[in-house]
Amino acid sequence: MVHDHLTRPRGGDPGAGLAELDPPAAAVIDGYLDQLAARLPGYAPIDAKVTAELRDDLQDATLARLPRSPDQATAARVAVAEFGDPAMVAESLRPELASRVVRRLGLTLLATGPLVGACWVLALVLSDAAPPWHLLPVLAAPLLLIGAPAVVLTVVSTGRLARWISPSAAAASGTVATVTAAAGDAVLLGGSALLLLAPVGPPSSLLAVAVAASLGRLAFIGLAAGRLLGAQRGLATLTAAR
Amino acid sequence: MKAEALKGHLDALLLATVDGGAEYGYAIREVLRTESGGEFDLPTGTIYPALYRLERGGLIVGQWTKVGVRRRRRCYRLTPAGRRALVAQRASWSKFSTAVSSVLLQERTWSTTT
Repeated sequence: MVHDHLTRPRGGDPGAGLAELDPPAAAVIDGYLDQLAARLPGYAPIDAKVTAELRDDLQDATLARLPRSPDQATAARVAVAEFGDPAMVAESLRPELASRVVRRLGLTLLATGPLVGACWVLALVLSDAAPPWHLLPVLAAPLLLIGAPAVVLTVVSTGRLARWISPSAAAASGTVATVTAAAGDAVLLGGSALLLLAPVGPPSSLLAVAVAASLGRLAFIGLAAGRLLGAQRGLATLTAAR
Repeated sequence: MKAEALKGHLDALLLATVDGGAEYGYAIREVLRTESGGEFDLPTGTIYPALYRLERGGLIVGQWTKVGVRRRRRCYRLTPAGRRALVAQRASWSKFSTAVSSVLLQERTWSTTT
């Protein structure tokens, strides 16, 4: 059932027709959002869209209170107060942002895993490499058996099935997926280095591509590790709240 | 009423509010407040995490739309899965509230016979 009067708050849509608040009012809102961001370290790269949405909300709230306020800055201060204490809002946002961090990590591993794997298969298996080189994929295979399901579980548990899967399971699977991906790359890179030092020639020039792919993914994993640790704390909060 | 008291019901209330036509965060908060007679006057900041959770669960979908001259706003609508969830939540609530009322509001007179 759709009620026309519910489509917009009473008094109409406060945001329509006005581009921006005046600088003092905007400063009040920016200051509040800065306080919020300061309480959510580590989530900055994915916070932009959330921040834009919260800013829009605060602008609407400010404009709605304008008829009862002497100026926009006063209205903004009331809107900010009604939005909630920054510490409380940050605490309630943290699990959701943490889930996004883990999901993004899972999606990246899901996308890069087959690519990195294909590079190594092309370099070591399909290029008629000498026998010692064939051992490398065999050594990495057990990690794939653990890592692949963990990546899928990470993506699934932070997506549509999130309601039925514990947040701590999502964090754990994200950690397993990350560790096994890093271990797989380390095994392949370390093995390649040992074989190159030994009197065994490189299998093909494709090895350089595979090495670059693994190094690139390791760099990404290194960057993601810190965020993952922060996300685990956030998801632990969500688990405790359930 | 505190957000804590709504725990377990907030998702259904948000689905119903979005279904009723409230499209964005501020409107959703205002509709919740006015339609509840001021009882559900939640800090807006607590509504967004729930909206994001519903979106991640595929029950609502958010989309940026242009508003006015230069502003953009994220508007939400129910997905088919969200509509089904709302129907189920309404049925569940109706059954639950009827059962609670029948126990809670009934005046009994206990008589002890020896």
